[in-house]
Amino acid sequence: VTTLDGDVLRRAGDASVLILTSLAEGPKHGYALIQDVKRFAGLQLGPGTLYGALERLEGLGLVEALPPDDRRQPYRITPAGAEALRSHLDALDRISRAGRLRLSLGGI
Amino acid sequence: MGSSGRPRCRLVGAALRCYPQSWRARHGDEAFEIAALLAQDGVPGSAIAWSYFKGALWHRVVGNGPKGFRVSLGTLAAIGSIALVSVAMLVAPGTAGAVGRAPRPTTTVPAVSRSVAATSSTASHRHAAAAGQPTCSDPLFPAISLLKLNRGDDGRGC
Repeated sequence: VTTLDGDVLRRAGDASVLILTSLAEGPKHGYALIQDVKRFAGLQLGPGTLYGALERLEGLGLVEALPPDDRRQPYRITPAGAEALRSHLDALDRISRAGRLRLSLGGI
Repeated sequence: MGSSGRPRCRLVGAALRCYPQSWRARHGDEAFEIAALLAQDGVPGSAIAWSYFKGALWHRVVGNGPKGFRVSLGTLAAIGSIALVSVAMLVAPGTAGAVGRAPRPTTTVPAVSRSVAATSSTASHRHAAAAGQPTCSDPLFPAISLLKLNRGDDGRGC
């Protein structure tokens, strides 16, 4: 799959999108991210999945680690991460509208 | 940094030990704390441990660099292919039978027999006797014979 719209999150996985969406509200550490994702998406993010996605996002420069607070490591979204999330949500919005339109045209 | 809040779950500890030392130095304490908090929330310890195991596997195999990702995908594909072929050969009776019925190169078993004979005089007697008997239909017969010889079995069960 080649993305034509610069959507770098298209293949990053759902966890990455959920984490960026959570961090769009403000910096959070791991457990706060898990709780927030559970609240707004109804999904229980596994801690291993969380750390893997955070490392991917950090490697892509979409999130950055803040100075540790005791043993907790907070993260925040970077400007590039915010732009990537915006592009991805726009793409999802286009797909959603197309899907709904076709469903209604098909009478399903 | 005390251990009072740490879950007494050996699985979680074992899973976290699967991560590289550098990862544990950075995230280890927080990971333990998250596991404890999730356990308090009612998440099963096995699910937490499994998630960490998968994360450790991903970290070890894939890493986070694009080059490492490509290389590791190739390695994974090769390992997966070998594993699939091996399992298919072991499991599929039709395949094993077909291979066993097909005319096999006459050098296969004798070559193995020669190598076995070099290590065991009793083995040479056994394979010499076996040469006059109907051949075993198992395509893995040479390997099985070697394994049985190493274990001290007599190999008659094949």
